Amino acid sequence: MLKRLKASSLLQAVFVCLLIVLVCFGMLLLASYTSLFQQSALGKVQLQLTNDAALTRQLSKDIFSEEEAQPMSIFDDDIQTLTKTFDWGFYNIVSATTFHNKDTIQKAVLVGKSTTDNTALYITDYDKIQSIAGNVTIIGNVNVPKARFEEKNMQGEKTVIRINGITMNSQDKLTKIKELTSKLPTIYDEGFSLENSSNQVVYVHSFHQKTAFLKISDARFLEGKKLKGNIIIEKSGTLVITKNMELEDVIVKADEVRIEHGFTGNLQIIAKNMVYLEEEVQLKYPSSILIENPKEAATIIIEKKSVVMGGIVLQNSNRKTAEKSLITIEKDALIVGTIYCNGTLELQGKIYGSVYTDRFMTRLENAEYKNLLMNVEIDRSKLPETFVGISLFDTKTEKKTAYGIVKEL
Amino acid sequence: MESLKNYKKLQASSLMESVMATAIIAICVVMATIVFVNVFKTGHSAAFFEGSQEIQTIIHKLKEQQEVTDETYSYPYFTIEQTVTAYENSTQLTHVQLELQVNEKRKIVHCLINVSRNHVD
Repeated sequence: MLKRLKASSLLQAVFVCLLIVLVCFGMLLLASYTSLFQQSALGKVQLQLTNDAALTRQLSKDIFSEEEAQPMSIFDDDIQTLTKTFDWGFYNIVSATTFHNKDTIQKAVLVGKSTTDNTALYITDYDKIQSIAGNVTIIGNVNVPKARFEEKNMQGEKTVIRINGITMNSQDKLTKIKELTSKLPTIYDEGFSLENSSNQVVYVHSFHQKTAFLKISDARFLEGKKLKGNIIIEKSGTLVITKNMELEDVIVKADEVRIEHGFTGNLQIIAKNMVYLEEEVQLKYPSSILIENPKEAATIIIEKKSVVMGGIVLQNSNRKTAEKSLITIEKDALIVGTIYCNGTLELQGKIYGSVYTDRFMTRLENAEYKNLLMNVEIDRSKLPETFVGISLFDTKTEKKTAYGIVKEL
Repeated sequence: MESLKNYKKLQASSLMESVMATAIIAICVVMATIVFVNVFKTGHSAAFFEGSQEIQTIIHKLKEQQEVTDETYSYPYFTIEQTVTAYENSTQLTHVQLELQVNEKRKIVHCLINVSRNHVD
């Protein structure tokens, strides 16, 4: 039996229409979302460029005076930017937050000063001629007492001197540097404490937040941990940093700091009396060591095969402590950046950068020779063009300088 | 004849019904075509995104250049017009406006270039 078939072209037409409407609706929905996504992507490009522009604008200033500015529009549009500047040891931190509607972009950079000053060696003039012996290479301008060196033959070694730069007279004192230790953040993040961070193995504290201050009584707290960012670690007495601690961008403060063999990291050390780097320690760029106005004689020792990229500063406020203070750079150690020694410098390693010191000293078989420079290499030209060093001198005394980005944080 | 009587009567659509169905489908197809055309028009073309990428390349090159001047960059499917003005009377900073034009669509991007930094000798 054949079934009864009902012809219904109208019903089928409506059904087909419904299908077409559904397809159209789907397409409209897809198109609107695609359009929204495209607009958001294009908007973010301008947000990113405005944020970069805010950093460029801040870096073009001669002095970072404003602590925190009001939100402002960089290009007179509806995109608002808030910039913040603060000191971070030898360097400055500039952070910019750009926002529009619900989109926010943040970026913080570590800023230093790039200088065109070509000084490789500066020795204070105490009316004593600087002696040199052995194989000495100095590339860059030289400021020494009476603008001359005296060649000496030590232990029968032939003296080979290579100086490539202008040799000038030096002054009777080192160029004064600006105060550095006072330039640390003083407002701390109250939400950060030893108790709530003790269980964490990795702790990253952003530079967009307030500084985390970690006062520890035992350095074992840092064992096996990674600390990165806007953190100041302070310990009274001696702080021993071992190779199983991971420290990046942090500031370390203690009376004495000792870094054990094999440690690799990126940190700024502020000590009161002594800093001792054992063999094969690598302080990556940008790292630094500072001892400022010690009460007694201060010592910084960089052992063999250790590397410091950034700078070493030993600053004394009185002459007595200056005469007793000593920086020792052992053989095969490498310093990239600036050494400022308000005391005696015993140099056996290599320096890619500049050296400012009151006097030199060389130790040979238990005998000490004052004002002697022997078998050293100080090469200003080996400093990479993009190297942004530590800012030591006031802007007025420093030759042509410009702020440069050390690293993005 | 007897066997033919066993078939049931089939009801066919009327002419009027067929005409209406055709009309409805035609209207739907026309509307769908309009939607299709508009959907393809609203989104940005590949050339627009290519142009946006090119702007990024230009900005990177500008950061390395010693001098930044007004310029027009022509490409097969789009053009980028570069307008340079001083920023807040600064001697160091230059405000660069880059205008991308793809057919009738335009997009303006602003950036700041520190010219003095590029002059480091």
